[in-house]
Amino acid sequence: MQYQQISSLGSHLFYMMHTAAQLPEIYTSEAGAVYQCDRHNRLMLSFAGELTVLKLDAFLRLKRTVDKIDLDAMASSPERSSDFSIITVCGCDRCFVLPLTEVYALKELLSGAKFVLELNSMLHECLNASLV
Amino acid sequence: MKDLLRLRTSLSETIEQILNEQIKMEAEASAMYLAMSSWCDRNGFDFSAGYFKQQSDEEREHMLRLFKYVSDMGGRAISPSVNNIQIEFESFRSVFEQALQQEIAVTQSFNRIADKCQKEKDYVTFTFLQWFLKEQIEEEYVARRALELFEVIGEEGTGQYEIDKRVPKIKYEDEYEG
Repeated sequence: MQYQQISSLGSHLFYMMHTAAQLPEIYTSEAGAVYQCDRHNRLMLSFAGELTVLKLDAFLRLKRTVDKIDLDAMASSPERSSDFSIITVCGCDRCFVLPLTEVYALKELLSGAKFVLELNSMLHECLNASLV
Repeated sequence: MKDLLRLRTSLSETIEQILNEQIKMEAEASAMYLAMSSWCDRNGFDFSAGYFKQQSDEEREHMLRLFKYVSDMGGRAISPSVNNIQIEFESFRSVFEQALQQEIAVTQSFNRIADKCQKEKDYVTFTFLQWFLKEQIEEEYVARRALELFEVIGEEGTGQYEIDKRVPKIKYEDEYEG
């Protein structure tokens, strides 16, 4: 990961130092990875060589926004503006400007991460249930 | 690994979404009742205008009750946009017909939410919904009784005036008195 690409260096640096060594990896694809920081209750999205730290709310907003992008319309439209999608969400300091292939990759990465978050939730529930 | 989803809110994404849809439905119902009140007012149905205004306030209270619940549970309560509310109505009777249809739609919607809660095993929300399900008994009763006045009294002569006068007096008794 490249340090100069990170916007607010202070907090991000902390996360970066912990990423590989300590933070649990939620989901990985060829395009990137999502980590979870239990100390700060944050998710970290590593995508296209950049690291983005997100609260869960912002992560879910980003996923909803990406899911709404119509990939078929992007692919079939001859407009030059359809070649890229600009993705900005509240609570995320990164503005994604992505071509179709990267939107697809981000969509897959976020879906995978969301699935694992839900799976983790179910496992917690099952473990709690077994205690009763 | 912490369960971040559950730490954020005890509502699942699906339940949060359908509750927000219901918030919107209640807001639209409130706006619709206000439109009915306005129509009655400008057509000389003074008592019915007051009745629909009161109904509008009640629907807004329902909306706020749902809104508070979503917020209290850590969810994202969405203040809804309400557009394209009907202004004109065909007749005095059609206003009440639409009011009843609206209440039926609200009851059906709450039934669907209750069903969804059971499927998702969200018994906290299911319990919260009981108040609304009970409330709908009264809402539908009053709307149906109001419409029945058109049959019982008839619209001829001073009929509409009599109906208008009787509408706010409709009360639901939830205890059976022999």
